[in-house]
This record gives sequence, C-alpha cells and structure tokens, in this order.
Amino acid sequence: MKPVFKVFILLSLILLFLTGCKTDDLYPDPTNEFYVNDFADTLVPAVESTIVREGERLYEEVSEDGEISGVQIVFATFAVESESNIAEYNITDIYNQWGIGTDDMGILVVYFYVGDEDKPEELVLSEVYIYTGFTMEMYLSPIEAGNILDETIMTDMDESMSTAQLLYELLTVVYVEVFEYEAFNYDMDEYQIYLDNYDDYGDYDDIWGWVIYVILSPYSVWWEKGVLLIAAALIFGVGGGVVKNIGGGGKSGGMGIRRRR
Amino acid sequence: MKKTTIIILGSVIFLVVFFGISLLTGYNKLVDKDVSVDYQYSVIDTRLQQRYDTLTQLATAVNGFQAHEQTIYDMITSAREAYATAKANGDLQGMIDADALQSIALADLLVLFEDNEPLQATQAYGDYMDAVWGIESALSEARRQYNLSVQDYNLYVRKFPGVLYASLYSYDKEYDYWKVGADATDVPDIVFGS
Repeated sequence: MKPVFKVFILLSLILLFLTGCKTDDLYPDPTNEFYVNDFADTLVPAVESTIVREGERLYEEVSEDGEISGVQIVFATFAVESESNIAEYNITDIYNQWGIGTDDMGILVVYFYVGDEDKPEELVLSEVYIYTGFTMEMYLSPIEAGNILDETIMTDMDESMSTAQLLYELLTVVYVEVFEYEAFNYDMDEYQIYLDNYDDYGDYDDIWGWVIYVILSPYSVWWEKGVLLIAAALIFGVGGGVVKNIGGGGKSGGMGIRRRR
Repeated sequence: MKKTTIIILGSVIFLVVFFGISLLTGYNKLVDKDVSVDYQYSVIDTRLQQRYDTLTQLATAVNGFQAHEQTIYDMITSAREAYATAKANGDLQGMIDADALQSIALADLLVLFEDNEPLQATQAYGDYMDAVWGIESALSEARRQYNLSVQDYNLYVRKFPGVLYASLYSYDKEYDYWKVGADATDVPDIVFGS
C-alpha cells in the first residue's frame, strides 16, 4: 500500500473517532467570553463588557480560609418566536452543560425575548430566570433572587441599566454573603455616565495601542515583534479564541426563580 | 516451542485478559449506575424535606385567615408521616404517593392564598410564592434526574452485555420510576409583577 493511502486511512480513522466523540448538546456552547452569552443580540457592548470584567474579577476571588473560589455569574439571552417556545428550554440543562462555577458556586441569569430573532431591536423581553448551583443555594435563595429581580429588571428602568444593577445586586450577595465583605458598593449614577460615554472599542485601546507601538518601534527587538505578531494573528485569526473563559464545572439542581414581564 | 503453540497460547492469554477486563469494567459500570440511582434518590429526599419545611411555613402563615387551613395543614403533616413510614419500609410507591399528596396540599394552599386578599398584599406573600416556585422547580428537576438515572440503569441491565453482568453479579433488580400525577410534576404557574 502506498504511504499516501496509509496516511489517508489514518486520518479518516482519526476523523471518525473525533466525530464519534462529539456530544449532541441541546444548547449552544457558551461564548469565549463565557460570562455573557448574548444569543438574542440585545445587550449593549458596555453592559456586556461590565459583565465580563466583573465576572473575571469574581472568578479570581478567594475566601479567607481558601475554601471558596471560582464563583461565576453568567448571563445569557435567547430569542424565541413566541412565549410558548420558552418551555423548550431547560435552564438547569443549560447551567449543567456550561458547568457554571467551581464546586457548584455559580449563578445563571437567562433573558428570553419574544419576536423575530433577525430583528433584535424589535425583540421584547418576556421572561427572566435566575438559577443557582447546588452550593450557591445556601447563599442566594429563590426569595432573595426574586426580590432582586423585582428591584431591577421588573422596574421601569432602562434595560441596560437594570441589567447592570441586577449584576451588581448579585455581586453584592456573593461578595457579602460568600466572601464576607462588610459591603459592596456601586453607584448607578456613575454607571449611567459610563454607559453614555462608552466607546465600543475603548476596552482594547490601551493594549492594541501598545502592541502596534512595539511592532513598529525601532527600539523593540525582533523576537518581541515576532511574538506579538503571532499572538495578534492568532487572536484575530481564530476570533479571539486564544483567551477563553471557561466554566468551573458546576452543577445546578434546578433551584431558581422566574419573573414574567 | 512451535509457532502454532505460541499462537494458541497467545490467543488464550489474550482472551483471558480480554474477558478479565470486560468483567471488571462491566461490574464497575453496574456499580456506577446503581450508585447514581441512589444518589438521585437522596436528592429527591432532600428536596422533599425542603418542600415540607416550606409548606409548613406557608400553612403557619395563613393561620387564622381561613377555617380551611387546618385541613390543609393536616394534609401536609399526614403526607409527611406517610412519606416517613414508606421510606422506613423501603416502599417507593408509598413515597411517591406521599409526594403526590403533598403536591395536592400545595395546590390547595395556593388557592387559599389566591382567595386571601389581605395576605396577597403583603411582601411575605411574594416571598412565599418565590419559595414555592423555587422548591417545586428543584423537586421537578430531582424527579427528572432520578428517572433518567433509573432509565440508564434499567436499560443497561436489560441489554447485552449488561444483562450478563447483572446476572453474574446478582444485580437482577430493576428500579421503578418516580411517577407522580401529571399535575404534580409541573412547577406551579405563579404570575408575578405587572
């Protein structure tokens, strides 16, 4: 047998094996940002950026005794044609598929929008769910979660502001109840200013400016230019897949709360 | 040693190793699936205890508003006692019946709440409804996971080669599903807000 055929057969077998390994997940995989999964395309970039930034910070937090770490708060949005389609989604399954929070210390917030998914601007928020991981149940009860939803997303406040406040209220619970902070302060007036002045590309200005400076600078050495060029090519080439947040492997037992708008 | 003898000896060793590994992995799979059913059962048990606590709080909260509340309170208590007795006797159907009885008590309690305007106006009302929704959601999920693990186990011990391992290691039992009435498995449709 010619070597080329051997290679062909080997590659076919590997491909067959990998195809067999692919699991049939019911729901889409989380995005690379992990903390924000805006499948309905309804969240504004400023809020998405806040969710990711706060999510990454929270994930790094470790309790004083070192027992608790890797807490994750994840937001997801889905667009459905009608309210009856919402029943096709099992929030617990989504939670468990994404594996939110280390040692079941996670919170999943899901927004369901009704309308034509090709027209995000016309989608209407219909239902909001908060589900907790097994261990997180001790810190965030359905009653507390319900009250938080009533004070945020169920008010007449602008949806971006109420989503941000929902995030901050959940962070307050986690930092105070779980990590035993004395308080967790946030200012929504300040946030409104941030929202109004947010530059979609602002988060990347500093790092990309530095990358371009090093690559073009006559003072940087060849290997610095090379490493940065390769890193930049990889990040652009695979859609930012190099830096990827992932779930902590947590599970939920279906404890949660729902609100209908 | 002749070449034929080596081939025969090699084949015998291969078969012994192959069947040895199969017996080990088959046994481990049986144990995994059996333990999974036990674990999921323990989750239901915990959730039922949580629901009992929630219902008791609810029944206490409506105390004094309606004459009907004592009947519901009795129903919750007797459902809990029936569950404890069935659990002590290893009577799964008895536990499922008690679960269903608690669900009926919950439905009655919710009707009582809906008819009770002074109570509805309180913050406590919303909190109770949240507690009920949360625990019913978790219980519904626990039942589903239990039934999935039972299905996984039962399928394995019925199909080949699991049926051989089950017979060999005396895992001849099959688990019953946790089937309560269709109404009882649903999370109550409580409407909040505007």
